[in-house]
Parts: sequence; structure tokens; C-alpha cells
Amino acid sequence: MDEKKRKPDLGLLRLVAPYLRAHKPLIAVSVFALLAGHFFSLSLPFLTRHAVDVDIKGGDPAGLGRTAFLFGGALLLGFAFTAGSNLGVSYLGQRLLYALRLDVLRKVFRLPSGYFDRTSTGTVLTHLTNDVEAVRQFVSEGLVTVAGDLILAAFVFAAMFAVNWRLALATAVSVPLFLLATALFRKAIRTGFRRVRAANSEINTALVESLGGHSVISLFRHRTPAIRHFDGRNREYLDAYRQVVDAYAAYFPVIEVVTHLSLALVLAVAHFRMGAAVKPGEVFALFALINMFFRPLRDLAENFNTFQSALAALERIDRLMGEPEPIADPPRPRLPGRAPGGEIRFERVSFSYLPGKPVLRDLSFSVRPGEKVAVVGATGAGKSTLAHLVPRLYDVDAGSVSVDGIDVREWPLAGLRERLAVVPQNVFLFTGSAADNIRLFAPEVGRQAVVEAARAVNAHGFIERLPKGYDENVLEEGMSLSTGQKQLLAFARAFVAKPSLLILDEATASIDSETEALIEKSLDRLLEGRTAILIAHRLSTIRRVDRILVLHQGRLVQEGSHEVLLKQDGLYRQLYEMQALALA
Amino acid sequence: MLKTFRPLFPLLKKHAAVLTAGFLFMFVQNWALSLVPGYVRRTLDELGGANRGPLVWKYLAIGTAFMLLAAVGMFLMRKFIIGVSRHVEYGLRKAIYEKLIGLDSAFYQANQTGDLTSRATNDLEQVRTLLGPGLMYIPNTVSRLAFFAPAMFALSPGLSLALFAQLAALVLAIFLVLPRMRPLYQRVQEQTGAVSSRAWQLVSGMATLKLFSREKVEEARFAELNREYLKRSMGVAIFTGWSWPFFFAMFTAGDLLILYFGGRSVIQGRLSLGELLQFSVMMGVLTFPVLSLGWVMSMLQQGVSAMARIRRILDAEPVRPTRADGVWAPVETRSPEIELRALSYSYPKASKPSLEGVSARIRPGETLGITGPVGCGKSTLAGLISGTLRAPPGALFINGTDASEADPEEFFRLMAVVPQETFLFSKSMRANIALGEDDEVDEARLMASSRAASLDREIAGLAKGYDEIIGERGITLSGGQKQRMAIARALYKRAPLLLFDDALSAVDSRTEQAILEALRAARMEAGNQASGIPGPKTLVLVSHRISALRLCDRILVLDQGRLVEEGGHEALLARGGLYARLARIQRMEEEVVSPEAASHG
Repeated sequence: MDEKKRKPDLGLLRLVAPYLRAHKPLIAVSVFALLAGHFFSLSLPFLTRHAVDVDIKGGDPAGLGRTAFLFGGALLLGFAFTAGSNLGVSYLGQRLLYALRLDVLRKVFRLPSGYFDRTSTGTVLTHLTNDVEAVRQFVSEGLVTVAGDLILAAFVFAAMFAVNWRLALATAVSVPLFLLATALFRKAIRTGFRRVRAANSEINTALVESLGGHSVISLFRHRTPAIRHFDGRNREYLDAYRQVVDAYAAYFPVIEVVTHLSLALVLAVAHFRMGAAVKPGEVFALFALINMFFRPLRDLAENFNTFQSALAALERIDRLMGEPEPIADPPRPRLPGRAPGGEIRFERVSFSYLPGKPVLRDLSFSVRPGEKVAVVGATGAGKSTLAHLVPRLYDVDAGSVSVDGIDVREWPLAGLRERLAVVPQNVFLFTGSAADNIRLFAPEVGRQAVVEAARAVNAHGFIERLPKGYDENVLEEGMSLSTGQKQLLAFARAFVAKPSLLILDEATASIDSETEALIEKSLDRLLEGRTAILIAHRLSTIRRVDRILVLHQGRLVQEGSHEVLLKQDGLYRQLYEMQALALA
Repeated sequence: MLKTFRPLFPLLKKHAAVLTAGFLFMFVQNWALSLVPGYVRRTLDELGGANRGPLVWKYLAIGTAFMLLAAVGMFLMRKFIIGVSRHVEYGLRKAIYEKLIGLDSAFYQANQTGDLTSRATNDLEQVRTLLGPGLMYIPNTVSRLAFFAPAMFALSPGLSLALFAQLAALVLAIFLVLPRMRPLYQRVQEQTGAVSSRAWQLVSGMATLKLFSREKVEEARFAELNREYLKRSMGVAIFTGWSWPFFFAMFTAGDLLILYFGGRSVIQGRLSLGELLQFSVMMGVLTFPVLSLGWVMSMLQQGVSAMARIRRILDAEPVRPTRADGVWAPVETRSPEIELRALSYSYPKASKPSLEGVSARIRPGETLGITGPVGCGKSTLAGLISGTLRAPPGALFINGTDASEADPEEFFRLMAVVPQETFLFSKSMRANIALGEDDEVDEARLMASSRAASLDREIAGLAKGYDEIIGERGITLSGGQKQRMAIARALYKRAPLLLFDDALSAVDSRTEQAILEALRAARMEAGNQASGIPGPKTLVLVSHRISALRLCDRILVLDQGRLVEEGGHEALLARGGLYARLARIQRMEEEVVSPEAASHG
């Protein structure tokens, strides 16, 4: 098992190496301080030996005073260097965290949308929060502290031999005992903590869901089963933790006994092997060193779990960083002319989100500059996919999508996306003011431009009525914008961007009639002078376009104006009549 | 301060025997530990002496025996005392949960879910962190000092006094220094929260950011948050970086005292070298308890405030009946007849009432529509009728009982509600639909309900059918599917009054008609036999969709919290008021194509 674990380690270090390389002087200073701290700590037992064997035995109070003075000085210097190395290591870890977290964010930005379809938000979030934090721990607690502890243990071991090799050997006898106890302890807490974590996450889920769903629970009189369910998880947590408590309860006394055995062995060896030749100062020094010896080893045992989970996090980040980036700037982008343009062409496009489940099949159509086209079709016809392919949120499987005569895959990404704006079905709001949500935090867009855009799309009215107007935090507790209002905000977002192309995926959730009327009016303003693809759910939208495309199972089945299509005996009329039936 | 912890007393009392045993073993441990250094001293004093072999063996054996006894005591002390603290944590968590789940929606309006979760997790954890070590370390340190002091003072009163003064200074230093770190630490925590919530936004809003090419802008904003995080983290790191080495140095200063003052006494012949070693060993054994005492003391304030926050949950007053006798009024078990008498309602922090003087009646067996523009108060009315919001006294009557006095359990028995926002548990489809008083599932009822909610075929198409788990670890449902799950859940309950709070917004018009049709049919033929509650089935539809409202026998039209119109669909249209206006706009705007049900169109 350890073999398997070890294998990726070396490879994983390559991930942190560049970050460490950037801080070579800091690392050098920290390591120096660490070693110096150890040196002064280790000098204390030797000073004790000198005090006992030379000063006290020699009856020299003045000598004792000098040695005590040195002891105090070494104590202070040891403290100063240790504190210094702690600081250096912490700073190193924080700098690494900062740089790594930004790199992970950049990577996440470059990942294709498909990645987010198969990865939950929570997982990606974990990379940006817990995993990078675990890597920081890996470096500052893992690499540095663990290495520091190992070095200290080795130094102490060497120091024991320097004091008296026979007594040191006596101590060494208890080391296997210590290692055995530690191995058993580690195994127990590893399984124990695994149970604890599992139970804890179940408790949290049950808790969060019970709080979020409290009204459902009371309405459906589900309290008793809910309490029973929670109690089961709570009890499992208790039992799991008691396993851990028992492990700790057993480990600490065992270590005390092992330490005591070392001391006893030192005394026994001193008496039976050395007899009258024994120097009490050496016993004093050994006693101090034994306490110093087991402390770093015990820390190692306790840190081992953090170390391991850090490795797992490192592996996850490594995997993330290795994800392919199929949607990237082309090596030699083709730049379109400066003319606003606005032509869209789909040529024999096939596309699927999941292999084997085609969404678009051999779809061809084009939209002339300035033309407004509606796309209709039943659920699952592939309409919203159009809004994903033009801005290259996804790439086609076959065929091509081009904007202004250039395949979107040959456009510089930012240039392509600047040329067009998409108003999605579900508008995502960011924490921040209404104004920030319109300008999407772009510093170069001033308040005036924001207000102008809001006015143009009829969002100004409701924003002004918010308690703090444009400065109102739109995600503030109790401040929930309606679907219609969110759409208006998204219109303003698009308006500010001044695109020559617009793709609008109409909201399907019900919008109240008055907002609906506002949206109607602002749509005209938004579409003015732009090429537009409208994924339409409303009759009123369909009436204002030049042409309607009817999609069915990813294929284009009909094309024409509302009047022409109604006259044909096709899917469009069916859809229309079905709706009309419901209205009658 | 102890008062704050009062809710823990009964929990501790339950484990009084184990706790007492734990304290007993604590004394055994400390008594045995106090004897060990004496045998170390005796051994050292005999060390190297001729023919002292048997004596050295004897001392070493006795010392080790006491050490083993101390180890057993230490094991049982930890197992028992820390074990009890875990039991208390369990009991406290149970109490918090049961309290929370019993509170009504007024409490949840006044308290954010995030805050409550944090109290039940972080605060509880803090109380536990204080409780276990507090119960164990404080008495342990005190009793260890008490056992050690006589031996030390007997050896050298002066040196002992100096050492105890030094230990006191150490405890004081920890007690003074650590709490200063807490606000710094809290600032880091806040920034951690800010960083993760921004990260969440970035990941969730990724598509929007990409579409508007805002990657660089967001990167800069994120970097700024992280720079602040680095700054705050270093604030803590500077503190911890020097404080722990400082405490250790302070502790090691004890060795210096022993070496210098003890050494002088040895030179003067007032102390043996063995006694000097005994001092040093004893101080070594005191290290950990003394450090932990300082640590526990430094956590005290934090634990007390965490417990105080938990108390706000435990002490929250559940809603009580307003009747003089303080007992819930029974509600007659029959299809509910609801009467609103000049019903007004304001939310706790609202500046103006959401409902004002609404008088109306819901008759058993009718299909009632409630509509009006956004913000008219229709959802508030739905909440009051369903009992999730508590009506003021004398304003809402159910089967003749004032709702403010009605037993909530009996009240809820008569209602099946499909709320505006669907809440699903990360359990199986089956458990989510058959959510009720017990875990048993009536399969026939389950099938019938999902069929009526137009959900049966989709569920049959799933790999695990009704056993499919919903949520992160299972399948994701679309908005429309979720809503139909909620409808199936309400139908499964088979209560005489079925209330849809704008609960057809995410399903397409064809499904909407199918569901409403199924409801009408079910009501016609089955009545209420299945639920065992007499009377016809009543349907209340809160909606702004004319296509749904037109099926209602009667429609209440609200505007700005007031009832402005009331009547049948045709009559209201003919009247030419608000309803007619809403219907006209909607007819013009009505959807032409069935809406998306899947996330990818």
C-alpha cells in the first residue's frame, strides 16, 4: 500500500517545484533559521551536562553561573531562530497558496464547458478552496515541518551518541516499541477518522436539508422520521468518534510508558554497564534528550494524516491541471476586418454533449448581417445549443460554425466573444450591485454607460425603485429579483457590450404580464441594427423576426415566415395549434 | 458563565457515573505519577555504588510499576471523560436538531439558514472543544499540581516556589496571548468565506464570464481578495510563529531555574544530585497539563459565546396557542372550510402589510383560483391558508377553529401543498414522493400520484426507477421535473385540500393541462375515501396563468394586498377589470412553443 502511495509522490513534487523555486532566498533563510534553532535547542542538554559534571561536581558556583548564563542565552537564541523559521515557512506557504490558487482559477477559466457538465460545482470549488489549502499545508507543514522534525530527531539521536554511546544505545532499544505503538495508533485513527468524516458529512447534509426544507417537513408531518434519520447519523458520528477517542486514550499513555522505559534503561545501563565510571551529568543530558527525541516523532505521527490528505489534494490538482483545453485561442488566429459585420453560418453542423446522444445533426443555415431569425421547436430539439456553439462554449463535432466568414475556431476567443452577446435563459447574478451586474465588473464601463443601457432596455425603472438603486446588492437577503427583472438586467448587460450579433434564449419560466410588456418594448431597442438569433417561446417574439427556423430532433425541418409556415402542413402548424388548443 | 452551560447539566448528569469513574482514575494517575520521580531519584543516588545492583533493580521496578499504573489511569481517564464529552455533544446536537425542526416558519424568517447551520455545526464544535478538554484538563492539572507540590516543597521550598511562580506566569502568558489571536483568526475565517463565496460565483457564473470575456477582470478581482487573505493569514502566522516557541522557551526556563538554584543547593550540600533530577523529571511531567490549562482557559470566552449562540436556538419560544388555557384547539377532521375575516398580514421587518382586510370563504369541494400581479400578496395568502405562515388571531378560521389557535398537526393533516419552490431531499425518488408521517410507502398510492403528476413514464425510464437518488450523488432533475415531484408528493398525501402555490410555472402548457385534468378527474371519482377524511376535495390554485385559472369555479383577484375582484373566469372577463386586463396581456404574449424541460435545448 505504501509502495503504491509513494509512486505518485515524486511526480507530484514537480507541481510545487516552480512555486518553491521562486522563493529560493526565503527557503534558504528559513532552513538556516530552522537548523540554527535546532542547534541552540540541542546545546541545552550539553550545557546541563557541563553544569552537573563540571560546575556542580567541582563545587564551582561561579562556573555554574556562567553555564546558566549560556543556557539562558541559548534558550533565547533557540526561541528567536525557531520563531524566525516559523515565520519564513508560513510566508512561503501563503505565497504558494496565493500563486497556486490564481493558477488554478486561470486553469478553470480555460477549461471547456463540457468539463463543468460532468463535474459538479462543488468539486471545482473544492479545488479552489480546500485542495490548494491542503497543498499549502503539504509544503509548510508537510515538507518543511516534517522534514524539520525528521532532522531534529536525527540530530537528537546523534547528540545522544555524542553524550554517551552506551546510554544512547539503551534508548534506541525502545524506538521499535514506539514505532509499533505509533503504527497501530495511526491505523486506528485512520479508519476512525474516515468513519467520522463520512458520518459528519451525512449529519451536515441532513441538517442543511432539514433546515432548508423545514416547511415541507412540517407540512407533510415528516418530523418523526426526520428526527429518527438524524439520530441515526448522529449516533454513527458518536460511535465513530469514540473509536478515535479510544485510540488517543490508549496512545498517549503508551508513549509515556515507552519514554519512561527509555529513562529506566538509561539508568540501568548506567549502573550495570558503567558502574562507578558513570557521570550523572550524562544521565541528566540523556533525560533531556529523550524528551526531545520523542516529541518530533509524535508530531510526525500526528501530522501524517494531514500529510496524506495533502497528497490526495495534490493529486487532484495535478489531474485538474492536466485536463485538456480544447477550446483555446488558435495558434494563428484570423482577424476579421474592422467592419461590424454580423453574419452567422452553420455548415453541416453535428454536435452532442454526450457521446452517442446527438443534439444537432447535419444542421446548415445562415443569418445575414442585420437579419433577425427565430428558432422554434419542441423541448430537446437543440435550440439552446445554438447559443452555446456560436460563442464557442462548445466546439462542434463535425461541420463548422462561422461568424463573418471566419470559422469560430480560427477567431481569437476574446475577439469572437466581444463581437456577440448572449442573453441566456437563466440569468446568473453575481454578488454585487445592480450596476456591477450590468457592467460585469469591467472597470472601464462608467456609471453613465450603465444607466444609459438600463434606460435603453427599460430596466432603469425597477432598478431605481430598489432601496439603494443602482448600488443595491441584487443578491441581498430577501432581495429576490423576478425572472423578468433578471432578464432585463441581462438585456442591459448585452446592451453595454455593444455587440453586432445577439443570441437571445428566451426565459421559459413564467414572467408576469407587466414585466413581459417591458421586455417586449426593450427587445426592439436591443435588436436594433443587430443580427439576432432568437430562441423563441413567445408568439410576440416570433412576429418580429424576418425568418423562422423550425428544429426537430437536431435537424432543420422548416424555414420561412410565420404566415408561410402556418400555411404549410408541418411541425410549425402542429406546435402552433397545440398551443392554440390550450388557449381556446 | 456556568449559567450559559445549563442545558448541558442534564446531559452530564446522565453520565455522572462514568464521569466520576473518570475523575477517580485521574486521581489514581496523578498519584502514581507523583511517585515515579522519587524512584528515579533513589536510583540515581545509588548509581555506580558498589553492590547496589538489587537496590537499583528494585527502584527501577517500583518506578516502572507506578508508571504502568499511571498509564492505566490515564487511559481510563481519557476514555471516560472525553467519551462523556462526545456523548454530551451527541445529546446537544440532538436537542438542537429537535428544537430546530419543531420551530415554525416565523423563526426561519427571522433567522438565516446559514446562521442556523453554523450554530449547529461550528458553535457546537467549539462548545465540544471546550467541554472535553475543560472537563479533563482543568481538574487534571489542578490535581497533578496538588499531588506534586508536597513532594517538591519537601525537597526545596525555595526552588518549588520559584518553579510554581514560573508555571503561573506561563499559564498567565498563554491566557493573555492566545485570546489576542482570536480576532485575527476570525478575520482570516471571514476572508476564507469571502474567497470561497467568490470562487463559487466564479464557477457557477463561468459561462456568463466567458461570454463577456471577463476572465482577466475577474482574475484581478480574485487576486485582490487573495492578497487580503494572505495579509490576514500572515497576521495569524506572525502570532503563532512566535507564541508557541515562546511558551516552550518559558517552560524550559524552569530547567534553568532548577539548574542554577538547584545546582547551588547541591554545591551547598542542601540537595542531592538525585533530588535535582527528580525536580527536573517532575517539571517534565507538568509541562503538558500546564500548557493545556492555559490553552483551555484561553478558549473559555470563545466557548461561552458559542454556547450563548446555541442557547438562542434552544431557548427559542415555539409558537404557542393564544388561548388563555395555552392548549391547542382541535380542528374538526373534515374537508376544510376556510373563512377569512378581514385578514391582514405583515412580514416581521416589512414597512407595509402584504395583505390588508381580505375577507373570503373557501368552500369544501370547490376549485378556487387566486391571482394578481407580482407582489399582490397571493403567495402570502397561500402561506396563511396552508399554515406555513401563522395568521393573526380572529382572521382565519378553518372548520370553525381560529387558525392562530389550531393544533398545527391537525391543521396540516387537512392540507397538501405544492409550494412555489420545490424542496427535494437527497434521498430516493420514492422517499421524496412518499414523504410523510412514517417511512412506509404505499406503492399503489405512489404509482397513482406520479401518474397524476405526469411523472410515471419518466421515472420508469430511469435505470433504478423510484430508487434513483436525487442530488449530488444521484440524478439531477430539471425545473419541470422537480415541480412535478412536488405535485406527486402533495397528491400522495391525499389531504382534502390541495393547494398549488404557483406550482405549475415550470411545466409546459400541455403537461399543465394534463395535470389539472387528472386532478379534476381524481376529485370527481375518488373524493376523499382514501384519506379517511369526510367531505369533498378542495383545490386552491395560486397562479397568474389564465389557462389554469379558467378551470376554477371562482377566482380571487388581489392587488397590492387587497381583494379587488372575485368571481368566475367568464364573469371576471366580462367585468373588464384587473383580471380582464391581465388575461388580455397574457393572451397576446402566450407562449407558442412548449418550454424547455431539459437543461440543454
